[in-house]
Amino acid sequence: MADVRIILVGFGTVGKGFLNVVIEKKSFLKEIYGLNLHINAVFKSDGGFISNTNTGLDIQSLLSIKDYKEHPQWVKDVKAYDKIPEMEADIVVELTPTNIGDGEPGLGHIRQALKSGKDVVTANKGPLVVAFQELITLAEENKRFLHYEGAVGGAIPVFSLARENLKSSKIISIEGILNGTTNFILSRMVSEKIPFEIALKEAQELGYAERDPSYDIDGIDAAGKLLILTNTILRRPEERFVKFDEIKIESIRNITQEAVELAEENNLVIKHVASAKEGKLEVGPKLLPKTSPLAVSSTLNSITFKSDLAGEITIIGEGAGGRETASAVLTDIITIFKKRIKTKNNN
Amino acid sequence: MGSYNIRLELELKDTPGQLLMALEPIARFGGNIRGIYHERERKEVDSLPVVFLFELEDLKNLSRIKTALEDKGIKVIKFLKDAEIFKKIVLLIGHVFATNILDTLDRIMACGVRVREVYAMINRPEDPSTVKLFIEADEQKKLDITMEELEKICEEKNLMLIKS
Ligand SMILES: NC(=O)c1ccc[n+]([C@@H]2O[C@H](COP(=O)([O-])OP(=O)(O)OC[C@H]3O[C@@H](n4cnc5c(N)ncnc54)[C@H](OP(=O)(O)O)[C@@H]3O)[C@@H](O)[C@H]2O)c1
Repeated sequence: MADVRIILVGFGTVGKGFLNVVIEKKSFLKEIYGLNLHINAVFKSDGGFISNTNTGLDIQSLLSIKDYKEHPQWVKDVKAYDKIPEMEADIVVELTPTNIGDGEPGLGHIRQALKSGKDVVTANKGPLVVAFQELITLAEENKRFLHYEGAVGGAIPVFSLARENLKSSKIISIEGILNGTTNFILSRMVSEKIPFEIALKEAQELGYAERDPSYDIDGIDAAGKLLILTNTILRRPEERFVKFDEIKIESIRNITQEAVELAEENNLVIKHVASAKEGKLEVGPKLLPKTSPLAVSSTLNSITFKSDLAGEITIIGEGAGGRETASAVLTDIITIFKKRIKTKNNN
Repeated sequence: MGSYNIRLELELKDTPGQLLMALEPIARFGGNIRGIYHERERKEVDSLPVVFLFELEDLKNLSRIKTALEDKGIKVIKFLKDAEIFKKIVLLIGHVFATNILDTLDRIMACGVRVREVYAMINRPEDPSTVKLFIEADEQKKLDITMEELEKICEEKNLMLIKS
């Protein structure tokens, strides 16, 4: 049995989803993988829950307490940034809000974790978009793992598919629908014959879109994910890393109802597609055959890898949701631990 | 996505039902009929050469069509496959007319492609309109050049371009 000591940073949708999954999968993780997960600390922006035993926090009590400030392990004003290097832990799970501007607060948390010898699992795109090369290098220098399966495509195992299951093939291009909110809006424009503004309002009412929806509908979120995909999967070791401003981005704001209709006459649908092909990086509306495997509807995401041997492979799934994203986080933790155990056995 | 222009010349018996019998395998294997011509002046006593023009996406189906025709006892005199046709549908959204659509079309055609059909949906003059273009070329490269030109045009004229 291996003990995995975890510091969780971020107690929001995905953070709580992750804690729920840790409870739910407790015996499964023990039986199948021989792993015993301890949550040693959980941080929010205004403080943290810090365990004073070596078996970690009582997760259930964190999830059920009405006022978190009343929790016996709550420490006001303590900062994850300061605590990460001090605390003993194996993995830092970073789930603070994405910020594509400067990557913070996640970037600082990840740097602190890697520098102090901890592996990192995150679903936060911000730090990866802002400082991909720096973080990969930092992880290598410190012989740590940095996994981020949940950052692109939520529950869909994009990186493990490329890394583990397509080992024999060289992936040549990537195309995908990487944002569930825009895909929901475009799907409703087709199925309900409604204009963009109404579909957007619907998405907001259902909680799929933020009050300020620009991050999704203007393609910024999808572009961030495309950058992470490109740097992780398409880049060869001798090549440079691509940067955010190299991506040509077009919003879906101006798509008319007429455009949707004219496309439909030819069995085509308009989708917000992110593509990395022949050195060109683009996010924008595109006409796809209705029958294309990429042309998924509602909030689904899809990704097609084109490779030299395997041809085209498309995977589809939920690109967001606390529980769904938590599944990717947990998979990353298992992957890292299996690798750690293997290295230990080889030494 | 491309397709081929096929010219198939058959010798049909001068009896009713022959034409339908010849059309069936063409349709079954995905042929998109564009024209049928009788060559009356070359008519024999009891048979008649007929030319079928059709588009075919998968060239492999041409031999399947030939075999099916021969199985029905229809003689294939000759067939010609033209150069492949490359096609693209694009949508333009914005003030497509106010920004001189004729100039837009001229510049597209200057890339060596044909604009086969144009559809437009127009609301009030102050609202953006939506235009669908069917573009055809005999080489993929010409289509690629056209798409680059279209990107330039749309940037200049502040139109949204949606490509297939
Ligand atoms: N939601 C999804 O479906 C989904 C899917 C894929 C990826 N992701 C990514 O996963 C990450 C988390 O998303 P989410 O939906 O869970 O966000 P969320 O609900 O907004 O939760 C964010 C959490 O981070 C905490 N936080 C903010 N600043 C912090 C700091 N300086 N130190 C410690 N904690 C801090 C917040 O604490 P307070 O409560 O004190 O503000 C909050 O608990 C994001 O990067 C997101 O892009 C989300």
